Amino acid sequence: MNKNEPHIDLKKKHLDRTFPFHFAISKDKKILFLGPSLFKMLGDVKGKSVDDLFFIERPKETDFDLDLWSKSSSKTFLLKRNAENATLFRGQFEYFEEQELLVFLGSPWFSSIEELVSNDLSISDFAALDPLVDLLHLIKNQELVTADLKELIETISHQKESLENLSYVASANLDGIIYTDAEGIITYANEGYLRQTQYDLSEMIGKDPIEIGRGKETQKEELKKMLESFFKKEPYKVELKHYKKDGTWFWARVNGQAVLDKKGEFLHYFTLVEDVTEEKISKNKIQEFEETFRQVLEFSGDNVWEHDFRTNKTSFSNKAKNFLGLKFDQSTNLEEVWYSHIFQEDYPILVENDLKYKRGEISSHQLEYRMLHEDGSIKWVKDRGIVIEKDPNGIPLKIIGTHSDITEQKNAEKELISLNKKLGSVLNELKDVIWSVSYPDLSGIFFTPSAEDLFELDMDTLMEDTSWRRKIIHSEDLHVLDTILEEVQENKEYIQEYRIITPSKKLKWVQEKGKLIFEDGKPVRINGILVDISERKKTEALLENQEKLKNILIDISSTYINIDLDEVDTSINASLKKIGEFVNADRAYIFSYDLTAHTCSCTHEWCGPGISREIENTQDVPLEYVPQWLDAHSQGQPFSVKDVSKLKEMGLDGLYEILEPQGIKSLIAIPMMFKEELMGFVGFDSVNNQHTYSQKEIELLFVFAQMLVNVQKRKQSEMRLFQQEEKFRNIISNMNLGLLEVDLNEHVLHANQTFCQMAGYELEDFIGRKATDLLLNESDKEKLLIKSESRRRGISDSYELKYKRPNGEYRWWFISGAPNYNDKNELIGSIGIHLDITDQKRLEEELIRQREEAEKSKRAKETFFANMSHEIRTPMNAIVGMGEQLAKSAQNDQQNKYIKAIQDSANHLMVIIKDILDLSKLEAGKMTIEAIGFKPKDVIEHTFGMMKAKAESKGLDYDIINYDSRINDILIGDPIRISQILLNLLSNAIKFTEKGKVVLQCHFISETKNEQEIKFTVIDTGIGMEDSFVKSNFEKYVQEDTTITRKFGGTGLGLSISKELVQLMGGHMQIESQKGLGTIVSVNFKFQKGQESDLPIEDSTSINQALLKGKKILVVDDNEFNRLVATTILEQNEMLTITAKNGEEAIRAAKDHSLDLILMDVQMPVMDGIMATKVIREELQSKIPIVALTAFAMKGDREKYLSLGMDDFLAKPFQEKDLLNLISRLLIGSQPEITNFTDVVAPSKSLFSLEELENIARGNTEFMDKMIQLFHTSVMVSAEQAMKEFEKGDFDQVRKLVHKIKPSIKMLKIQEISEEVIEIEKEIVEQQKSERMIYLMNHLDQVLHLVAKDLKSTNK
Amino acid sequence: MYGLVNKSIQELITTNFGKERWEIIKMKSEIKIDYFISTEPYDDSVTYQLAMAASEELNISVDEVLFTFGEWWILKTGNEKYGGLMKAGGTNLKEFLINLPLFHDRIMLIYPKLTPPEFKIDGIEDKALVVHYFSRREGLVGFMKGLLSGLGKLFETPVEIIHLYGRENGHDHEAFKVSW
Repeated sequence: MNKNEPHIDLKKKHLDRTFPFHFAISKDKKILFLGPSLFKMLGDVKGKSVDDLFFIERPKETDFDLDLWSKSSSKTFLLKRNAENATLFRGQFEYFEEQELLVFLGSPWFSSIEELVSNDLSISDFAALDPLVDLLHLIKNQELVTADLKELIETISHQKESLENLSYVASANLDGIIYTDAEGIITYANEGYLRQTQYDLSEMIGKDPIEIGRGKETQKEELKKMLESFFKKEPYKVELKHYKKDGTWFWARVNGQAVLDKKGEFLHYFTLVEDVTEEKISKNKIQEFEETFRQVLEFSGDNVWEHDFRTNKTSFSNKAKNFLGLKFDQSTNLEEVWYSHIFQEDYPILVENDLKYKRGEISSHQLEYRMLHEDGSIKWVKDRGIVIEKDPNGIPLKIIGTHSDITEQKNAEKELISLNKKLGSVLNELKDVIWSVSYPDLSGIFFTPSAEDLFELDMDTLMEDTSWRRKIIHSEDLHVLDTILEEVQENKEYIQEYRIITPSKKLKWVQEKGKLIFEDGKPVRINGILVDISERKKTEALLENQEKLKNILIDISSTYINIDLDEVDTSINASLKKIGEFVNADRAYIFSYDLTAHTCSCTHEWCGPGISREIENTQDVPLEYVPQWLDAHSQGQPFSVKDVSKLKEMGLDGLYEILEPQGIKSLIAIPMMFKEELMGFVGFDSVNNQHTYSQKEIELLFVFAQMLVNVQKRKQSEMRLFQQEEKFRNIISNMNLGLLEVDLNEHVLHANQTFCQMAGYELEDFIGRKATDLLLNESDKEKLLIKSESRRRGISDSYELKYKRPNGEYRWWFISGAPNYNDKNELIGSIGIHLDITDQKRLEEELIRQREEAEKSKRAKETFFANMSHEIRTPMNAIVGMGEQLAKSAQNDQQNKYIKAIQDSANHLMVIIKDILDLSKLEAGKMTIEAIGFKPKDVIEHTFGMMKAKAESKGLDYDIINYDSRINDILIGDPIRISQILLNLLSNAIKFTEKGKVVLQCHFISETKNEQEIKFTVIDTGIGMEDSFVKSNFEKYVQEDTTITRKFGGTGLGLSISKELVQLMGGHMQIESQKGLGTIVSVNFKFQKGQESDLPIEDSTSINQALLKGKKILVVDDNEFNRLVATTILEQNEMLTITAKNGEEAIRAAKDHSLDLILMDVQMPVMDGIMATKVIREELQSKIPIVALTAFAMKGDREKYLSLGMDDFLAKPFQEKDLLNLISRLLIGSQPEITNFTDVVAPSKSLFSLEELENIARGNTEFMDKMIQLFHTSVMVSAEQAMKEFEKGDFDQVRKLVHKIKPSIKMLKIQEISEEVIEIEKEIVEQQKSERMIYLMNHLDQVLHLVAKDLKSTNK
Repeated sequence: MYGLVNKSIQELITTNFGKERWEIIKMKSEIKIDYFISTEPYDDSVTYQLAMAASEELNISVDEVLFTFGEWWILKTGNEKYGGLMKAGGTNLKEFLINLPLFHDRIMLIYPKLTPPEFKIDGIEDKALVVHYFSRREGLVGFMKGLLSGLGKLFETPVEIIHLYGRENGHDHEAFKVSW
């Protein structure tokens, strides 16, 4: 080894990095060490023989023998693994003499990257200097490129193929195709064009098509068209003569079109040249043929037409002579015109024909159809046609044909048919008889078969001779035969109507018409017609009769409309005559029924000539004579007798005896009914002849009867009206009602006596004078004018008026005024009825005065109660308070006993006050009932427990039994009032029971899904009550007897208050009592079922002695005792007190001292508590807690005081614990000094949490500071603003501000108000200053201030 | 860019939206190349134009197009055409990403006409690392995100990619935090 040679220490790690696939072998061919990547491939092969692992692939025939050791150096070796995959390794061997080892430096040689991967190797297994991976990458790339190229070649060869195909198409085309460039120079021409033109391609290329094809006869116009289109790059189509190389020409149809690339850029011009010479020649031939054909056709029809199916065009040869009256010009669409003139019904014929042609079903046609002439007439057309050109499929391309006018021919045909028809029907179908007889002998020539039916004679008889005519004609009408003959001679024709009587005795009316027929100037026969007109005659008779009937009805009706009642009788008589004559009666009459007297009497009668009058004999006829009469009439039916002589046979002897002597043969009597009332009847007798009444006649008689009824009714009602008027007139004059009628100008028309007396004037004073001027003062006049104005509009009304009589006396009038109309319904003034109501007025005034008195006294009572409450509570405060204090310091039993007596008395008095207050509330309807959740069991047990001591002290058996377990744990109601009621019942029971038991029961009665009915029962064995007292409903202030009060005490109000409370709560109370045995009082209530969440949250604040200690409290009260009570309690609880007698002193004290809290009486002289609070809050800007003390203990007071700036409210007299509780609550956290007590006070739960904010800030203190600062500036400002708006009453503003605060509250997790703030936002606009909202707003303010303060200290 | 990138875009579009849409997109891009040859370099603008036209035609944002293309490049083009190479790049996502700079250095050598982007990897944690991407080309952030997302899918390792910073906020390169 040459020492000068640079030498480096090559460590294994260097080899590992540079040749990670190296391995070293010792002389004994054992693997000594190997690189990490090789290790990865082979595993731990240390110590194994290299021969087992590899053999040398190249150089050939080399072993791992010693030769290798000496021959090392730069030779490349390829090693192959002795393994299945036989991986190749490429590298070189380096011999390290000193170490006597041979090192292989190389790396595996993969043919693809996939192979590399399949050996679980990756780039990182190769040394950075090893380019193998890159080589493989390149190989991969090469593959991709090859793939790309393959794809590209495929695409190109495909395109090439398509192009070739295209070019085959072009060159194979028989027509000529040329491509020209933008200048028009030919760049390509196909075989077809070369053939057409006889040029070679080489002669063609570089020239333009015009140069090639233009000749002498080439149409210049077409060329011009072609060139224009070419330069505009527009497609064109021309037909022209194209010359060939040899100077001949062919007809060429040339189609040219520019070919553009995708972007619309010009590529070349494509031109198709068709040789149409043959086509042209054959076309010309066809044209010539058609011309000839048309000429031929024109001889055969009025018009020759031609239709081309390809162009859908029709042409007419003979337009001028068209027979539809049409005028054509060049532009007329003949087919359209023709089709529009086809008679609508025939249209389908043509359509169908057209379709048949188009379908190739026919090749000629012949149709007849109708057309409308311009003048509106109908023309018949014969339309014939034939195909003259067809396509290869046999479908016609062109047809030609003729139109011929066949109208006349058609009409003649039609006429003939119609004539045939007529004759046929005349002969066979007509009922009428058509006949013909010879003239003048009149023997029968011809009769239609209907003659047999008409005359009921056979044809032989009819034809035999004329004798039958005389036999058959009605004897009275025989004269017509002569008449007919006369008329025939005179007029040659005749019409006669006459009757015949057929062999079967039928009477028929016939009409006979006849006409003398001449032949060769001589009359030879009479032709005629006989028509049976019996029906017509019958109808005519009927119509005549009806007409008559109608006239009579109109006549009678008009008689009775507007008839003067005085003329009624005369008119009725006339009508009887008219009707009687119409129905051919001999006597007509009217009877009225008197059903009470059971008689009937004749009131009107008409007798025909020679008929005796019966009216005198027919008065008060007993109805039993004519029972059948009455029966029929009662049912609204007419009574009729067709034949009086037959009455006896029918067993109606009585009737026969009446009618027969009067010579009556038949009669009819129609009832006269008004609604259900039978008034009488109208009857008609036939004396001379028997008469059967037709339905029409009966109907007429009914109408007549009804008219008579109406007239009678009118008469009656007018009578009644008259009587009524009379009656009212009498009433008015007898009832002391003053009646005054005035005209439209208020001038008096009439005044009755009473009115004159009422007004104090004589009638003469009134008449003609203006009532208003005379009777009224100015203001009343105005009132009256308004009234008269309303009268003009038809309004009636009543009003009161104070009237001053001429003697100065005032009278009250009640006036009913109404508009006054005359007979013609014209307003002529008004009418007033006047009633003197002075006495009632006085009574009314007295009543109003009394009611006012009563209300005044009720108000006085309320005020009294309120004042009494205050007046009694104030000293009671002292008594209760001092009593409590005194009890604490009592020295001995005697004193205790006295104190107890005082406290008991005080408590008793409090109960009485409470009762009175409750009562006054109940009476004023101001008692409100709560609906809150409560636990019924707790309430009952608590109430029961309250009275336990008392019951036991009397030695009573006192128990709750039967508390029903089905009663819901929580109900919704007013637990205080329930307790109050039960307490009252229990205390009464105990009070009135000397021995035995008092038991309280609670029963479950029923339930629904939401409700339970509960019954409380208090049973005692006490003195009981008389039944009458129980029924008296417990009048207030009443005990059963006055000794009770003395003996048992009490106000006597308890039970009646309880009862009212029960009612107020929707329940009911029941009392059963027996004097001397005891009483059972039960109360039933229905309660809603409640849940835990319905229970009110209990105020858990407790008295915190440590907190209270040393606090400085200002007691403000004008009442010395009250001050003393308060200060004593406060001082005993180690608080410092300052007192003030009124508001002014309080303000001064608040200025001079550092106070913790103020107890503020409300009503005080000099300055009251409310004003003082206002000054403290506004002028002193102090937020010191102020508690209102008041003896006016009414519901809603708390809200009132809170809204006035106070923090809470306490009713006097108060209990010590209540006061301390309240003070504790207000002082917690509200005073800065609280921090002094933090070590004493149990740590209260933090109001807020910065956790969330810290989470967001992630240690960013700057952010935290900023956020907290924002709370002070933004949130607190908003909160204060919200409070201000709340005071002002802008609740929407409050809602907005609260909404603004809400997120901060959430972020700071101020749990105490997080729900409340949502409630405020939701409810404030609706609830406004409700108790709840006042509380919530104050609470929000308080809590936020506390949080703000705490945040300040945290932030320091 | 080499033709294979544009070819890949073509494949992405034809596979998912059909040949017609590809033609429309190509038309809208106004590029006049009928056939992309994989190993032939094309101007970068071709790729941008294609991406923008695709965005317009498919009514998705350019970023989204690039993101989808990134994923496609890895999962389809890379995996199908260069599957071995991709696998050789590493056996898992982390290894592959760490090898990424080396991989691109090699590409630079193989494709002399290509300007491959340069990568740097740092901030290597157990389940995250930061890929720094230096490129002459701008606006390929979406593409890069798609590539990273595609790699996550290739190695069946769901990844979260946060674009830490880049040229748009004044840096000279883009940095992506890849976590899985």
